[in-house]
Order: sequence, then structure tokens, then C-alpha cells
Amino acid sequence: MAVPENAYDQLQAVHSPPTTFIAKYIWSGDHKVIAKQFLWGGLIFLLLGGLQAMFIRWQWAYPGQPVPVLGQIFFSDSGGVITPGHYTSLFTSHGLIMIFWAITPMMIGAFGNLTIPLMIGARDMAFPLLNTLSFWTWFMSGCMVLVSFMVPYGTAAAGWTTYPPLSGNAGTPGWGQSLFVLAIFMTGTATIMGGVNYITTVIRLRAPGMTWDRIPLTVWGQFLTAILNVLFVPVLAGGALLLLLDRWFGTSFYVAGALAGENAGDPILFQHLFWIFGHPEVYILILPAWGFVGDFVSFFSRKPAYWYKGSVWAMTAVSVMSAVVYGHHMYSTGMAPLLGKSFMMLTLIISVPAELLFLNWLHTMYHGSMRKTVPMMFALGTIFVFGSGGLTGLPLATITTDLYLHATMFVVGHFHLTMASAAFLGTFGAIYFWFPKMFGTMMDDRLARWHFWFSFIGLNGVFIAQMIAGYAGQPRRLYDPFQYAFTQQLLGINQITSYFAFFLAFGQVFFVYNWFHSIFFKEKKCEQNPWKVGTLEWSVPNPTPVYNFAKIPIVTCGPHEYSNPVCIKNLGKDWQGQWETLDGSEPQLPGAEGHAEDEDTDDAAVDETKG
Amino acid sequence: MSIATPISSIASLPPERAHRATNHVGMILTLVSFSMMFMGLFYSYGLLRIRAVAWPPPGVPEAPVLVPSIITVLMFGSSMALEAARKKLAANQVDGFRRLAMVAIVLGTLFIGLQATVWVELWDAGLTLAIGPYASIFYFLTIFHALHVLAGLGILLWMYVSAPRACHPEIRASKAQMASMFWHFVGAVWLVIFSLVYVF
Repeated sequence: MAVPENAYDQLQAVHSPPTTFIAKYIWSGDHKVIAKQFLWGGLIFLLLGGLQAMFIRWQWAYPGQPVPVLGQIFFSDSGGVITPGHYTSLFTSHGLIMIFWAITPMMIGAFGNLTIPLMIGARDMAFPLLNTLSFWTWFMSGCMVLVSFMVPYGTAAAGWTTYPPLSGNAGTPGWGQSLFVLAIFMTGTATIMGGVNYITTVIRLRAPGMTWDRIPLTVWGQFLTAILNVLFVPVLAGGALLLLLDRWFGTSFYVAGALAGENAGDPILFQHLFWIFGHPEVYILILPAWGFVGDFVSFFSRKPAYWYKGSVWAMTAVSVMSAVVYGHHMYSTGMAPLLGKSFMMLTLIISVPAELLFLNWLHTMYHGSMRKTVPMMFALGTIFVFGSGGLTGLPLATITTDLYLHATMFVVGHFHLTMASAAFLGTFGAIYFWFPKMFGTMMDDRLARWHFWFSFIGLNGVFIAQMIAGYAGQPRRLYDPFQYAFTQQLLGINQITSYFAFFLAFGQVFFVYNWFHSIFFKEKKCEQNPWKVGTLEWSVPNPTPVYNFAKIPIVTCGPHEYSNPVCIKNLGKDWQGQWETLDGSEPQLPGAEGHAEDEDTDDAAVDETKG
Repeated sequence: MSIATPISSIASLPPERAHRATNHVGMILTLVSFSMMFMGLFYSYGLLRIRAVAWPPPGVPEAPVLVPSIITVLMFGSSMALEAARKKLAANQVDGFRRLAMVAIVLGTLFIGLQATVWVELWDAGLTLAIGPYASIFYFLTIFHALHVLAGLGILLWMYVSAPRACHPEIRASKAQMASMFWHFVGAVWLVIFSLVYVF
């Protein structure tokens, strides 16, 4: 079937640039603006959640002593001392804020929005209005979180997992917990809206020639994440709804024991609903980072990604399997042994595709021409912390060892290495990588390296030390972990852990200064393609127009075409843009000349150079 | 047009047709997401039921079957009328479309009205929230579903007004298709709730 020359351009509208302030920065449908909104919002909440972590670390290093300086601001009612009430609120809201209001908006909201249309050659998301609504729903949920700190009885205090009966009216009275649960429901809605948009965009709006095996791994990561979000966030939403009904209308879904009388509900039901969502959620928070890492190791080793399809299949396999392992969070709930063993086997099997990804990354770097740029450093850091986090997951997946390690600091250290550290390093790698695309300037290289080393050493120090303390038997979440004879000797390692945490926090000053300086005070604009990579977002000028691509590009090759001798000979550079052909001719629409397969044209180019 | 249409052939379609297919994909994903929420709730129903000592607990008023069966038929009829309305719209018969769409809307409203009589009757007979999880999940599933029916009625009204006014036949068809997908989905969820709560 003959395809008209400009057919693809007619499918997506070319929007004219917005003129008013509100249309430009507030109620914008432009995916690049929404990405920036999510990034700013996420960074602010990251700062808040990080501050809470420092308070928790202070309490564990110097239990019951007033927090210097900041204590007078945040705990003025108790003279700067963190009380048990403050403390339960701190570790509860730290976890929830970091997951739903810091990592998710930054990693998925910001970089999903930024990269998907630009990398697949689309002019915007499939549903721009839905995108706007998604951000503002998230924003409103964030406001509710902030309000929950100011209501009587304080904010949520039932642990980040929000298990009843602690999260019921008897455990956490007042509006704080309710507002937080409602905020989780709302941010979940925002996530689903985003997920529907991302999946539809990837399915429908890929540029001609952008076949499934030419999509950058970043987009694959975001695509699979979006699928998990659309499937499993609704389950949490249902669970949260039942919890709110229990709190507000006196239903008895989760109420049991003395609170319920003879017809009791079941608090374990909430744990099921929570972890059916919760386990896919930990992959939701790592798949985008895997995508970034997969792309960055190829970009900065100047080599094609080793076994690209294998990486895609591995990520897909992990996504599928993440749906059937949630029981490993509930080994100690009295689960049937056969069921427990099944969950254990499935959980251990998930490390096989994860291992394959690691081998592919290592193989990509092997004999590569490594460029130790800042994004590459962060990618290597992500690989290291995710590796250590993944390996320490094995003893937690195994029932026999888990029954000892359950609810100790070992668990805390483990999941912070994967969900927190790997997500943190991956996201900051992405910030440094796409900063020139978003803001038109480069961030300062030296400050960025200081930021990396402080973060990398800090994160590893904190979480490895936490695992040691947990292995020695320190239970998690205790206000004063040293109240028992068998934990008293752990004060020393807890203080060392806290020093690492303060070191980590200090390192963030480099980022904050670099961020504000590079956005607002840097005069020198950077070039269009500073990293010399071939994905589509670098084919458009800075600042990127509202419609991204004046003409929808025709994609000729995969995302990782580096160091191809033909390319070096013909084009004089070691990378081939996805919009370029090897012989320098105009890219042809697939199917236009009777053969849709790109291999033919590649072969033709090779033959030509030989001749 | 199916979602499996290869990307290279999309370009040979008129843009409105391509947009309709994009909306179709988005709507499928949205409904998949809604289904997962209902799956979680049905899972909750199952877990509460198998953990209960007796289901229903002794002495609670028995849930009726007649009225719920009638409204199940109404819901089915409403979906059929909506499909017939879409055919009329495709044939450019706006009056026929409006008439049949109104039948679908009226049947949907009747559904909610009759459902409400069941709630009132059972509540008065003593099925209050003090009964425990049995009453909680009964009222929650049926009322939560009724809220979705209300939302569906809103969408049908929007379709009733705006679909015939759209300038392009593909946009008309798209609006009617999106509205009817949600409506059929709500009907399908009702079938599950009906069998769980009233029949078994």
C-alpha cells in the first residue's frame, strides 16, 4: 500500500506555542513542561523525605537527645527532642513520601514524560489533557500530605505499609492517617492516568521505522513500568478504599479481635491487597532505572548494547514474574507451607532474568571505549548498589533465613539498596544526562562528581551498616533500639551508620547548588547533542519546540549504533543517529520501496562502501 | 479497526480513524485498570467469606433474588439498546440513535432505582453495618458498583448530547464507542457482583 509522503505528519497536530503564563507553565499539556513540573515537585519532596531520614538517624545515634538547630524548628513542642509520637510519624511518612511523592514522580512522572515522546519520535503524549490532569491530581495529593502534618494528632503513624489495626481508628485516631491514605488513593489515580497515557503513546505514536526492537531501553523500562502501574496500583486503591471505609463509616473489613465483637473482618486481607500491589511496586521503582542503565552503558562504552533483545526479554520476564511473588512479604503471617515454598521458588527464579541483565551490561562495557561521564558514573553506581541489594534479597526470599531476618534492620538495608539507592542513583544519572535537553545548559561536571561520590559512599555506608546491625538482631522501627540487653552493643555501629547518613546528606548540597546555578545563572548554552548519542531526542534543537518534531522523523536503525566502521568511514563520527542512514541519503519510509525490512538497506549501504 | 493494525498501515488511514483507534487503546487500558481494582475487591470478598464462621451469619435477613434478577435483565437490555443506537449512528440516523440511547439511559436509571429499594429494604430488615464483614462487603460492592453506573449514566448523557453533533463520522463513532465500552464494562462487573452477592 502506498503511503503518502506526509501521512505521518498529518496524524499528530503541530501545536502553536502557548502565550499566556498559565498555559505555558501551570496548566500545560506539553509533556516536556509536565516533566519539569514533576521533577521540581519530586525534588522538593525528596528533600523533605531526606530530612526525615536524618531525624530518624539522629534518634538512632543519640536516642532521646535534642536535635541540634533543626529540632527547635520541627520539634519545638518537646524542646527539640524527638518523642515516640514524632518518631512513628517520621518513619511512616518518610517511607510513603519517598515512594509516592519523590521517586515515582521523578523517575516515572518526569523522565517517563520527557523521554517517551521524544525518544519514539512523537509530537506529544497520546492524551495531553490526561497528562495535565495526572500531574495536578498528584499535586493535590501532595498538598494533602503536607496538610496531614498540621492536623490534630499529627500525620500518618502506622508504618509505611499502613497495616491495620495500627492504621484503623483505634491505632491512629485523627485526620492525619485518613488524609494520608486518601492521598495514596489520589496519587495512585494520577499514576494510573500516566500509565494509560504512556502505554497508549508507545503503542500508537512511534515514528515510522521505530519498530519494537529499535525502542531505546529507557522507553522499554518506562513502558513495562506503566503496564505494572496500570495493573497493580488499582489493587492498592481498592485496599485503601476499604481502609477509609473502616475509618469513616464503621465497616469492618479489617477489624478483628476485641474491636470487632463476634463477626470479625481480617487484617491480613489488607496485607494481601497491599503486597499484590507492593511487590510489583518495587519493580516499578527499578525498571526505569534499568532502562537508563541499559542505555547509558551502551552510550558511554561507545558500543551497541549487548544482546538488546535479551535485555528486553529479561525486563519483560521480571515484570511478569513480579506479579506472582508477593507472598514473600508475608511468610510470618501463618501462610500454608506449600504456598510459602511456591512463593520462595518464584522469588528465587526472578534473579535469573535479573542476572541476565547484569551480564548484558557487563558484556556491553567489556572491551568498550569507556567514557566516564557523570551519567555513566551514576549508571555504574546503580549497577553496584542494585547488585548488592539483589544478592541480599536471596536470604530474605528463602523462608528459613527470612524467619530470622524478618522485621530486622537487614530488611531495611536490603530494600533501601534496591528501591532507594538504585532508584536514587539511576534517577540522578538521568537528571545529569537529560539536563541539557530540559534546560539547555550542562550541569557542572566537577560538582556532579563530588555529588556522585558523596552519594555513592554515603548510600552504601548507611545501608550495608544497617544490614550488619540487622544481622546482629536489631529490630526495625524501634524508637530506642538499645533498650534490650542484646542490642546495647549495637549503639556504636548505629552511630557510624548515622555519620554515613549525614555525609550523604551533606553531599546533596553539591547537587542543590549545581541545580540552581545551572538553571538560573548559567549563561553558556550547550550544544544540541553534547553526549554524541543517536536517540531521537538529540535530533531536535534546544529549546525544543512545543511540537518536538517539525517533521516526524523516519527511523533507520536501533538506538545503540556506535563504533560501526562503515559509519565512521562514511559519516566521520562513531555514532549513527536513529534518523540517519549510513550512506548519507534521505531516510525512506518503510515499505515505500516495496521492501519494509531495514536490513536490506543496511546491507546495501555496506555493499556500497565495499564497492 | 483493531489495535493489532501494524504501524506502517496506520498512516494510510484518515487521521480521525487513527485517533479513534488510539482512543480505543486508551479505553481498553483504562478498563483493564478498573477491572484490576474490582478483582482486588472480589478477592477481598472471597477471603472474607472463606474466613467467616458462617456466611451469611445466622439471623441476618436474606438477600432477595427477584429484584436483582430483574435489574440484571434491565442492565443487559440497556447494553443491547446502546449497541442498536450505535448502529443507527453509524447509519447516520440521528433520531433513531437518540431514541435508543434514551432507552439505554432510562433502563440504567431504573437499575439504580430498583437497586436502592433493595438497600432500603435490607437495612430496615436489620442488615446494618453492625453485622460485620458480611454487611460491609454487601453494601460496599453494590453501592460502589452503583456509583460506577452513575458515572456511566453521565457518560451516556454526554454521548447523547455530543456524539451526533461531531463533524466527522469517525469522531461520532469514537464517542459512541468509548461510552458504550464503559457501559458494557459496568454491566459485566454487575454480572460478577450479582452472582457473588445474590446468587451464591
